[in-house]
Amino acid sequence: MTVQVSNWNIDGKSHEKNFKSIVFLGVLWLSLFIAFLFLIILLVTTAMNGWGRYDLRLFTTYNNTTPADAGARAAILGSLFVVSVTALMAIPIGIAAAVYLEEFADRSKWFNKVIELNIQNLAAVPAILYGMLTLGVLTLLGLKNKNVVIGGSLALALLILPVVILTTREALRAVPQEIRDGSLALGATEVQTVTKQTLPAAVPGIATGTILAVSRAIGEAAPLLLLGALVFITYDPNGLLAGFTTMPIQIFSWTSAAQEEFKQVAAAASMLLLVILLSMNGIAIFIRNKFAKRW
Amino acid sequence: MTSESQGLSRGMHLGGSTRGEIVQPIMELRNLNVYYGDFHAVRDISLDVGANQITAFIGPSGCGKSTVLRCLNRTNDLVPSARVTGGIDYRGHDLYGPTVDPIEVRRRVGMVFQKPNPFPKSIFDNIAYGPRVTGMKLNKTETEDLVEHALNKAGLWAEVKDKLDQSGFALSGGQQQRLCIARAIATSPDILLMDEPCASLDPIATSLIEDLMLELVNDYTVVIVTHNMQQAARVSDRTAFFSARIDDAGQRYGHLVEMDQTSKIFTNPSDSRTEDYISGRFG
Repeated sequence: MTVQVSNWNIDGKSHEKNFKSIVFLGVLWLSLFIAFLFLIILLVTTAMNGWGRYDLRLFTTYNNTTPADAGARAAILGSLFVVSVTALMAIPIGIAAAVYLEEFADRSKWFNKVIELNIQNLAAVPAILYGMLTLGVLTLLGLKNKNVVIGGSLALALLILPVVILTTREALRAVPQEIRDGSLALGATEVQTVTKQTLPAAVPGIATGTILAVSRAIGEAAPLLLLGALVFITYDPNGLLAGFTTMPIQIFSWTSAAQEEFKQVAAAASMLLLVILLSMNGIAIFIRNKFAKRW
Repeated sequence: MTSESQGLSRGMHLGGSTRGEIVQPIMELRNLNVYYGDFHAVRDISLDVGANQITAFIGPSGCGKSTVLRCLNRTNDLVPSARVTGGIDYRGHDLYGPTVDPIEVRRRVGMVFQKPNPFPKSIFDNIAYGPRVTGMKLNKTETEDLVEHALNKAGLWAEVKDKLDQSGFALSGGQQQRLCIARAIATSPDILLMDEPCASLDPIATSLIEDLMLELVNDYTVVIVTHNMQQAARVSDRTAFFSARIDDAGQRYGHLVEMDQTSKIFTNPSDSRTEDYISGRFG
């Protein structure tokens, strides 16, 4: 026998489709659309402005007073050189600092608390301040010419160091405590546990964070401008004390040049910089997804 | 014969023989007290752990049985605020003596945890890790032999011999736990500590681990913490019953109520609190 229940009607207008829900969703979509719109306008106009300069000369020739002959060779090589030295300085120090703070530091001690707080703050310090700091250090060291590779790398390394430390700590924190316990209970020392278990398990997270930090260094111009960046270099950077220019600086100088045609080269170089940054971020996302661990 | 009565034969049916009596203690706890900062968590534990016996620690949550277990291989030291007074005598050495290296202690007293915790490495490397970090200089064949030996001891060899290069996470929960036991065996420990090793396993995996413990005790000394009283009755020779109490200052602390042959604890305990707990009247 079936029981008749009077209020058992499930037909009717969906509660998901009432006016409020639709407006709410509409606002969300609109916000997303606005954000995308500006990005697309920027990309398309830059891409179109650079039209005609997507050629090999962009890579092979140095800067020139004739816009048609100007290329970004020195800037591309300079960026690669400076960022490599930056990475060599910031990544080992950053990882080591993070390992100390996460695995060995006694968090109840006041100086460790002070260090923690300061690193959080340093990550939010404007880039130009790192340029000023580096300028001061190079002056103290008595360097007359401050626009040198090692100077630029130092400024950028200081800039990304807090980011490397913070992301490495996040990655270490994501490694379950059980893995450390298991290793220690087998008679491994704390150093062995870090080097053979915790760090290897955290490598994907560290790699992702580090790549993002380095890509930030590639796109940064402010601290380098403060060091008196050169914009007219017609040789490949050939040493740590050699003068250099980087892509953001070269683009900056071309955009502010009097001749209209330089803007075309600037746009072409901007697109190249964007491609480099997007592929680095792509690699970071790939690593994150490919090696993401489920414990 | 049911598995129950099979298992009971060790602890209960043969209880009248010397099985549950300590022939030779391997560890002697003397007035062990554990503090976390100012908190006096475990008070005045004195008990003996017999060589080649299974000793079970039972008792309600918060009675300090896991804390005491972790003192036996000094993993409790890893809690920064932890402090211990009293002594644990292990083969003539004071475990907490000033000249004792905790790392060496952990190499001799292995541990298996409540939640299976394989390393994010291959099955082979999970087993080979202990020997590698403890500085056993083994060549390739010796390592392979040791891995096979340890997996055999843990009753896992037949199941994994064709996939030693696969991740330890690819195994089921019960297999993972036996992998962790094999991992502990690979460093040739003297004593195996097990902290609720079956708490996250199904009954079939649990019974496999229990059978394994009865095998292992021929070569090793086993100390197990368990919430499962049937398990304690099935596998152990001696049982220590811990309980929690509140002192005059209102602090809750763990203490040992009594320790005896498993058969005696489960049939004729000396303390009424033990009987209440065993019969399910509290805890």
